[in-house]
Formats: sequence, structure tokens, C-alpha cells
Amino acid sequence: MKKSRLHITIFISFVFLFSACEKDEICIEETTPRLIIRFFDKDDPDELKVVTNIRVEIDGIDDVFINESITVFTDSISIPIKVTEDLTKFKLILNGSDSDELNDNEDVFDLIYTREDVYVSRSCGFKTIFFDAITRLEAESDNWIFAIETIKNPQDILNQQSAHVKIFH
Amino acid sequence: MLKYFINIFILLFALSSFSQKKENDTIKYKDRYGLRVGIDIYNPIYSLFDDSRKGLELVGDYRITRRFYLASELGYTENTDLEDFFSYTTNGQYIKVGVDFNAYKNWVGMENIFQVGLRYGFSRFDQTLEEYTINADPFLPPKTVTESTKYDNLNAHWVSFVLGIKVEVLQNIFLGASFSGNQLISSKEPDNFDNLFIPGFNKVFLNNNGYSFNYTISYLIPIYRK
Repeated sequence: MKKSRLHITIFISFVFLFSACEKDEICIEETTPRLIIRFFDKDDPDELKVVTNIRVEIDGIDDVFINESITVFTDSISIPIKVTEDLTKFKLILNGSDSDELNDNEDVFDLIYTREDVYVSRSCGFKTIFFDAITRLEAESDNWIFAIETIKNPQDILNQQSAHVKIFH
Repeated sequence: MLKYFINIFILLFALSSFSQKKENDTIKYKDRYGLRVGIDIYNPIYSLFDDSRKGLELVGDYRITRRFYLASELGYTENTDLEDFFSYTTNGQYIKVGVDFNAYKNWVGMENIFQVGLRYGFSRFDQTLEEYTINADPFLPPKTVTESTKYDNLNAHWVSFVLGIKVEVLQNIFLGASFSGNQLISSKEPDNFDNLFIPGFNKVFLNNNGYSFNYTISYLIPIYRK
């Protein structure tokens, strides 16, 4: 009888052992990539150049987009791309994050691409990746952006391991 | 002195009854051999309370030696799972075949089982991705696709290690509970999705393992005694 009780205890503890790790709930894989932009000096195209007090907005969204790439490392920023449309209109505002509104200079560029939804995992679900992306700068009288180009042509945006777009200013 | 006398008396009495029992034991008891068939009651009861899962499992075992049984389970499952970013339904049939070893030493005339078993499992199933929401930055509007996608003709092979008990509660009627730890060997996976649930295997975890369990009522059809 004692032996059977031991068996049952082992059985029950087995059940609990396995139910304890029931869900792989935490999403650790990379999901939808953001656009990574690096800023270079227009006079010395190999040198990174910080954009002072940059503010980032996306057309159609009221809020200002903020993350640590914008507030801390301003020579390289990562910003989200619309997964609902094949075009995202970005507004990069020089001196936009300081209190002085008179020195703001807004430049607008489009990112045009095709999309594909890709399965990642149970916990992460699906991500969107972007193909054949091109950039188009809206020209105006006082562009602070001198030139914008994708690193490759065409540029696929599959992950965030390297930059996708260069901006010279 | 009287105390010792009583002790010796009790000892003698015990010895005499012990030897008497031994005489009884010389009558050889013959075990029953037969086919036990039953059903899993977990899924039918579960589906009364929750629509997300339907299924039925038939179980059977056949005693081949004093301690070994050939065992099999077959059934179907329709299961809908809701994950953080998507939901999907799995629908299919399965069969498991293998052997059970009875690790329980019964008293004479009892036929309870503490089973330790191995199974090979096979399932054919379809998966339907019901809907999904792209996992993207919440700063931008979300994209949810509600059009379902069906992936047909999928299959999977796996092995299981089974632990369980079967207790005879009435003449020939057994109540059982068993747990099985499953390891996937191979599976035919859909494009751009995954086999996250397999009928008979249950949820498939990251390293291709999982667990399942059942609660059964079964009936022993005695065939012969040995």
C-alpha cells in the first residue's frame, strides 16, 4: 500500500511539473522591424552627424513619436513603419524638440514599399516585413535634408540589424 | 512472568494463523485475461462548459502476459486556441498504439493497474488560422486580418511516455487516469504557420514536446484465465 502511495505521489507531481511550464508566453523573437535611419554629414559623407533636437512625426498620427534612439543617440534613429498601408509619410523636424518654435524646420519624406505578413511564433504571432522600399523627399525652399537614399536599391526591410536609410544633412 | 506468558501466547497464535494462511495460498489463483475497452470522459465533460474544445477518445488494452498489456487510444479533437496575437482551430483524428507495464503488485484477486507505458502516436489534421493581428509598434494603427486561412492535410508522428492508474471500482468496471509526456518526431507543417496543437498530442511547446492526459471509464471483457 505504501508503495502505491509513493507511485501516486510521483504521478501527481509529474502532472504538476508539466503544467508549470504550460505556456511559452514571452515573445523574445524580433517582430515587425522599424525603419533605421542614420544621419551623415553632407560635406563628409562617411561621417555620422547628429541632428540637433530632432522631432519625429508620422503623417496621420497626432502624437510625436519618441524612443531612446531619438532622445539619446540622434545620429541613428528607429521609427515604426505603417503595416496598414504601402506608404508611410515621415516628418523629421530639425530643432523640433526644443521649446523654441521659430527655429523648427520640417522636412517630409515618403517611404514606399510592399508588405508581407510572416508567422513568427506562438507568443509573437505575425510580423510584417517590407520589400522594395524606396524613399522620396518632398522638395521645398528650405530643406535641411540635403539627400536621402536607401542603403541598397531596392531596400528590403526584414530586420533591425542594420540601417536601411541614409540621410545627408 | 504473566506478561511473558501472554506474549508467547500471542506469538504462538500469530504463528499458527500465519501457517494457516500459507496453506490457503497453495490454492493457485488464476488471473483474468481479456480486452478492456473504454472512453475518455474529460473532453465530453469539458465541452459541456466550454465551446472551444470538442473531442472523443476510445481506449482499449489487451493483456498479453501477467504484467504487460497492448494498449491503444484513438479519437478526434476539434480545438480552438486564443493566443495573444491570433486564434486558430485544429481539427483531426489520431491513433496511439503501444504497451503498458503494470508496476503495481496486486493482492490476490485484485486487478488494479499502475501503468507505465510507451506509445507511438499519429495524427491527421487541418488547421485554420481564424484571425491575426500584426505584432507591430502600437504607435501606428494596428492591422487585423479576420479572413481565415485553412491548412489541409497536415500530419504528425510522436512518441509518448505514459503514467497512469486504473482501478476496478465495480465488477469489470475500471476508472482510470493517465498522463502522457509527448515528444514530436516529425510533422508536416503549413507554410507561414505552425502546428501549435495536434490532436492526441495537445499543445506543442517550443522544443516540440507536450503533454496530454485522460480520465477514462472502461469495461473489461474477460476472455480466459491463466
